[in-house]
Amino acid sequence: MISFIKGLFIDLECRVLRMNSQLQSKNHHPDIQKSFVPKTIEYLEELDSFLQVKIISGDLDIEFLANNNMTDFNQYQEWFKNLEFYRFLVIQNYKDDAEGYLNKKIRKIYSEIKHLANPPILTTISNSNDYYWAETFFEIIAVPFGEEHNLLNLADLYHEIGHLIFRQYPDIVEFKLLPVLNSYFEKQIDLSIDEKTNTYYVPFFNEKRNHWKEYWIEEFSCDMIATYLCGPAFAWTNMKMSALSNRDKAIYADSPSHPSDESRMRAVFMMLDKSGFSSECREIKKSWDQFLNHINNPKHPDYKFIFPDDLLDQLSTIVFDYCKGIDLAPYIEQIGTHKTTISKIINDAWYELHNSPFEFERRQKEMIEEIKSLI
Amino acid sequence: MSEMTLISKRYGDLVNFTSKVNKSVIIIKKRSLLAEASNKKKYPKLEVNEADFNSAKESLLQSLIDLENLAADTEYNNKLIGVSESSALQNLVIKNETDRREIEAIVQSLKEDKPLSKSNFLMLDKIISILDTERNLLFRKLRTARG
Repeated sequence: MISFIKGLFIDLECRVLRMNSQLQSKNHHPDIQKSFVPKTIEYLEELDSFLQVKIISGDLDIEFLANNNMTDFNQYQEWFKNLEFYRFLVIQNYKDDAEGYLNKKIRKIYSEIKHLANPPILTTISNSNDYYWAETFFEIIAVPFGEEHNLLNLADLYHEIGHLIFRQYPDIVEFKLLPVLNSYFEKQIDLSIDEKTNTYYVPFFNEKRNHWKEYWIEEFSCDMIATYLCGPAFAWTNMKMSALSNRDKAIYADSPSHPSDESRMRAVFMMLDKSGFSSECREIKKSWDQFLNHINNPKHPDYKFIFPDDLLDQLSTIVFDYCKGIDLAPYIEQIGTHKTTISKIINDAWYELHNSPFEFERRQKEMIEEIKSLI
Repeated sequence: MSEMTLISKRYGDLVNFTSKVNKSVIIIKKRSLLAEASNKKKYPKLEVNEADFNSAKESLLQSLIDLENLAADTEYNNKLIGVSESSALQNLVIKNETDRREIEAIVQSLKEDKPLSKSNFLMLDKIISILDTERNLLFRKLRTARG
């Protein structure tokens, strides 16, 4: 048993060293060679130092510590797998025609929106099911394989960028919204006590308030940041994602990590309106209302308490001021400053889809070529 | 970003908590081995300095108190969300009377500077095993929750 556990540590260290050596043995794409690869090597060296300490400490020879040593091993093994997936595979998969293009694109987006931070690395290690996701610790945004050929989902890249922006200054929005949020839920709780329905409603309201605090504020804020940055196209993309949720009849369903699709659309409309796109907002809202009527998803009687318009409206004001405060360029400013922006092309893509659907594939290819000529 | 943010946060909580508990238990176990002179011969590298031992005791005591507090206080749950949502741990600290009494006994011994018994260490190993399993479950979920 002792020699087996010790062997596991030594085998893991061999893997770490081999991965490190593979990274150091060749030159990678210039986009990742300067910073992403060295940082990955740094993570591997850090993990290796933990393993070395453990191996030479003598702890692995003590049977009484077998359980504890296995726990340490499992944790190091998970850390290794994370490095493999979120860093090593991203490096190994980096191709000029996909990642090279996507990373030039995100750099242009950062310049257009006037965001001064270093952009994350974009990778195509995701798929249509997992869709777009951001791993903020490892500084990557993953998009589906082949996504460099599509435009309609691209507005969601602005949502993922929203997560990175929000994580830079998380307290600003929360500081302003929390008093409003607490006051709203306290009022609902007081009412339930007056009406003697508190046995059911107090835990219900406390749970929903916790979800707001822990995750929903950020999620709504990222939708609103994306709308601020990408304009009406984000509303269409969000509607597309909501249409996909309809398979599960879940338009009005929330989860601990995500508000309902219906409330997210309302939040997007509020930001669209504030950003100067009232007529576009009316047009998309009309489609959305028709969609809601058509699908007729079940709605819980208490749904009205969870995402009231007033809370969303106050949040949209806070996020709008937040974006202004950190000097992000809204969509309307981007198209006024630059001849062509990525955000404008995404909006044009949605326009083409609505107006010339049978020409869309050809037009999409032309628009992607246009982006390539800009970056 | 789907479930990933939520699970990632719970996973991070559990990594930190498990690592803290395990590190403390290793030091306290090593110290208990040093009570027998023969172990120093058997394990020549075995040593624990006073500062590390005291810090391990304090850290373990706080972690066990945190676990005990999970039972009732919802605000406390927010600080240890990954730990609080572990049903196995909830069963251990809330529903299993024998296990809960054993945890209380460990807390008491640590407070009174008494050496831990064999059954105390078995209980600590049980907690660590549950934490290890829960952390690994979340790690697996993390891999399937992107989107």
